[in-house]
Formats: sequence, C-alpha cells, structure tokens
Amino acid sequence: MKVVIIGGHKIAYHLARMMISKGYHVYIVNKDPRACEQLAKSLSAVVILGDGSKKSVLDQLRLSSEDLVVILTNTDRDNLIISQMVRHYYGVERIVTLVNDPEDVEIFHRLGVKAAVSPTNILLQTIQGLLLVDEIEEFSLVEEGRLVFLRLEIPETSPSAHKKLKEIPLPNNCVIGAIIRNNTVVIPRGEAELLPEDRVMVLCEPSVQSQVIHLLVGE
Amino acid sequence: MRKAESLYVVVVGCGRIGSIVATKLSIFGNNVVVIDSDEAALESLPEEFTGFKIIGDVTEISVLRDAKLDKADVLLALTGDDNTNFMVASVAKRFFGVKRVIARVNEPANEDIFKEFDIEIVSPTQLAAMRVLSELGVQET
Repeated sequence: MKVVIIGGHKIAYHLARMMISKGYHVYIVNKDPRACEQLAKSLSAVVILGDGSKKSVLDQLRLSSEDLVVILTNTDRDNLIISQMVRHYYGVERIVTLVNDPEDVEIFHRLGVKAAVSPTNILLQTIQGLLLVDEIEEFSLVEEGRLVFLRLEIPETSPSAHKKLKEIPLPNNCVIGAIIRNNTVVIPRGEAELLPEDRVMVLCEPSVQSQVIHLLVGE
Repeated sequence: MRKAESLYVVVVGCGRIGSIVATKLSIFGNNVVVIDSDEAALESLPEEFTGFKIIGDVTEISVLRDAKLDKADVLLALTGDDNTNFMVASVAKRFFGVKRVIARVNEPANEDIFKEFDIEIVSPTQLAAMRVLSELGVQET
C-alpha cells in the first residue's frame, strides 16, 4: 500500500513527513518544479513532477485499490476530476480530498468521495466553538443572521453581577428580554439587578455580540 | 434547429466556441444563459444574442443555481479547461439532473472519464485533426 499526495505545497510537505515517519511509502505529485525540487530534497518520498489531473501522470503511479490518495490542489475542479479519475481508472476507494469552497463538499459526497475536507468549515466550527464559552447556553442566528439570540449564565466574576441593568453599558442594538432566577421569570426593567447564577436571554445585532458577551460574562 | 420546441440552454464558457454556439442558439429562438467569469468575453457577444449573461465562476455551485440549472434542458460545458468542463458537466448530471449534457474535451486522454459519467463529448482536437487529414485525402479507417 502506498500513500499518494497530489498537489499542495506546505500541507503536502508536512503530511508526507508525518506519513513517512509512520512507515508509509509516500508518493508526491506536484506540477510546480520548484516545489518538487524542495520536496525531493527534504523528504524520502518518490516525487513526480506533473499535472495530477492528467491520466499520463497518474499512470506513472501504478495505483491499485489498496492505495490511499490525498488530493490537495487549491482548485476544486482539479480535485474533483482527479478524485474521479483515480476512482474510475484504478479502483482507488480511499480518497481524501481538500475542498476549497465549502459549498462543494456536497458535490464531492454525491460523486462518491466520502472524505471531503473543507478547511473553511473546520475553521468556522472552531471559531464558533471559541465564541461559545462555558457560560453561553445557547447561541443562534435568527432572521437570516441579522439577529443573534443568546442565553447565558451570569458568573460570579461577571463585571455586571450585582449591578442594575441601567448601570450596565449595553449597546443600543441589544436588549435583555428576560432573566430566569430560581426557575422564575423576571421581566427586566432598568431597576432590576443582575445576580450571579441568573440566566439571561439576550437579543442583539451580530456586530455587538462579543461586546455583549464580554459585558455580561467577562473576559 | 426545430423552432417550435424552444429549449432552455445553459452555456458555460463564452470563449471562441461558446460565444458562437450561444449566439446561434439564441437566434434560433432558444432561451440561452451564458456564464463566464470574464466580463469582457460576455460583452463581446453580438447584438443578435438576446439571452442572459451571468458573470461568475462556474465551479461555484451558487453560480449554477443562479442560472437555474435545475430547469435547464441542455447544459453545454465549452470552456478551454477540461477540468472545469468536467466539474460543471458532472455536477449538472448528478446534482441538478440535467438530461442532456455536452462537454468540450480538449485533451483526448480525458475523454474516457467524461464518458464514465454519460456526458456527451465534443473534441475540437480530434475534429481539427480529422479535418486536416481529410483535406489531405487521408481516410481514417
């Protein structure tokens, strides 16, 4: 079994390095002569200079259904035709493809590439995960993303704890719709005081979401 | 071309081949949408072309949705890049369910992969080569 990495420069290098250290036979295809030179110098892999979307180049790899192919070029049209060629011509089943446009993930799935990885999607999920700090119980976009609904718990350390709502410098495009305290609902007025362990429901515009979170939860 | 039955045709690529095909189809009374990322190419279409023009990258599915590809009777993938044509054609076939999909295939070695997906192909390379040979009186056997 061999691991074939088509396209990509930095990612191809690091991926190849790690696969080689795990004991795999790694083949690299790249159409950039300088990239090939650098990869060949620094890695004990077979490096082939050529366009991986050409059958004549793929033929040189003597692929079989045992092999694993990783496709990393920066254009989805190239990745798509390469994935279909290795599948149909050589019966390769284990194909991992980088997908540049997140919307294309579905296309790759539909055309039989199960492992279609979108770095944009991964980054997006990570960013959203970071936004969702512990105190945030719910975060959702409403009205096609023009409005954010937040449900969060006020921690002991909150800069707004023990403050009256009117004393909290919330931006104008934000309202606290309700406070849940000991399972009872408090409809907030300016005189109402926020207490630790209160849960508040907030509606705001996306532009001020992090400002609001910082004010109510803290850093 | 039958005029009674007007077709909804999406033409991808407004280069030398695409622009001629789109214009003729439009003159013969079909509903034509041409997509190209190059605005100048779309502007160079003659006045006789009465269809729609969309500026966009055809490998972005949202652009194909804007062209209402799901409603198309025919998709013609006519760019000079086989990989683009393959992506558009296979997506039209498998994703949007377009019945007739015809693609320009410039590199003869690529023909097989298009055929695997039931995409009809036109090869300018083969056509030109055959024409030259027939001009010389060399018959293909």
